[in-house]
Amino acid sequence: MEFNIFKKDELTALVVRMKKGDRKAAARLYDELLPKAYGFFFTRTGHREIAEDLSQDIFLKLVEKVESFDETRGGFAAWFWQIARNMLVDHYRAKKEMPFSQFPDDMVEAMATREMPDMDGRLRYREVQRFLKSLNEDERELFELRYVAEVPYREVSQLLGKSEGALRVAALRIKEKIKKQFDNEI
Amino acid sequence: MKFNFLPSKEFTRAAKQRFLAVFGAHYPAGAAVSRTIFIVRMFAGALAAAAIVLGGVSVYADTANVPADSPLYSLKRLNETVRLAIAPPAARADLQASLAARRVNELNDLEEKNPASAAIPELANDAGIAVRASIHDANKTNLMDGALTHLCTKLFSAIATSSITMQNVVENNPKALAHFTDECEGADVNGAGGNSGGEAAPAAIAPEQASSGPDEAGAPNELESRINDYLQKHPIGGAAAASEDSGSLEGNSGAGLPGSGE
Repeated sequence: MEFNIFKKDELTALVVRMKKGDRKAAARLYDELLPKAYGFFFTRTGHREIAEDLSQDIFLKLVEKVESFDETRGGFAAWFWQIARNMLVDHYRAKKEMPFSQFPDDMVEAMATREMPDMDGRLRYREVQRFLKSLNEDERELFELRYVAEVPYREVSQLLGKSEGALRVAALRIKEKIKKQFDNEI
Repeated sequence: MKFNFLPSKEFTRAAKQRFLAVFGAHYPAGAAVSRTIFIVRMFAGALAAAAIVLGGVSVYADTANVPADSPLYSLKRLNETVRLAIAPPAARADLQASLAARRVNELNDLEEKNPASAAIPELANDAGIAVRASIHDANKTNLMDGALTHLCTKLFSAIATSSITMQNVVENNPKALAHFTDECEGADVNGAGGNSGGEAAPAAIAPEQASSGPDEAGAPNELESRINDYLQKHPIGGAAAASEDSGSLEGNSGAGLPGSGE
């Protein structure tokens, strides 16, 4: 039996143990979050190496900053994903690059070939980018947090400063677009 | 459908090693406490417990780390019984939650060290009793919102990281589980709505539920109305300001979430 009502705070429980020096908790936190962090950075930047650098850096930042996380003031996921978003802002400022979703189509084509080793990967890369371009900025951000990083609505609400109700309605619209774009894959 | 692109195994492994190495540098493993120091501490605890019984003096004894298979474990439990007996009603629920968390940790440790230990079923039963008692005391003192959420968070944290045995304890006590659902989910509607990947959860609001009802045109359904009502009365503080904040990266002990720029 899966206890989802407990799972919602599992990340916070792990980070509380991590703050006490629990190495196993730190490792579990890493295992849980690295794929999501990488996916989030990759979807935004389109570059494998940049996604690797950022997703490695965020865990090093986590070790530096974890003592400042106060579990009584909110869940860990919101705190973590705010750091991820801030890192992206800093990356764009420092590198003067544009987000992947703004790349012209021919650049996306070239990058698909460079970044993805196999045909399926390239197809998926192009499909996701076409889809991202069909979203406005707010929808794109919600999509990356909910469908790529799988952040719970409560935390997305804190991150974006919008009510959960509004987010769920927006997510329904995105879901409709996903169905249209990706057809029978849903 | 999955939208996340996954990192390579080589990168994942190498990055994990780097992360754990940095973690280890920040949190060097604590030296094992020698048995002599332990026994001295526990005798001090036993004397303190005896003073409580004889003199009615309230003393805190450091018994938190005595494992369930230690010969001094019964003294630890005695100490807890005394603390519970003298705790004021408003503090009992929180104390029960701490003790429930402690039972869960003891159970996890014992299962790791000696999975065949005969003490495991009894300890699991004690853990279940402590969990129910904490909810019961919370009901009796009518804890509201923040205090109840804090209590639920503490219990969730303990049980979420617990072993299969502990989860079986809760599974075999459906009333305790129902209590969690009613009391703890109800105390924090944000928490009740939180879910990842669309998994169904008791009393949580799964995306499928949110999309049911006459809301295809975008009008919020009854559940969403309740969420919005709750959020209007309990606005999330600092989120909007924090999202525009370009100041230094601070922890969440400030007004809101970390800002960018560090």
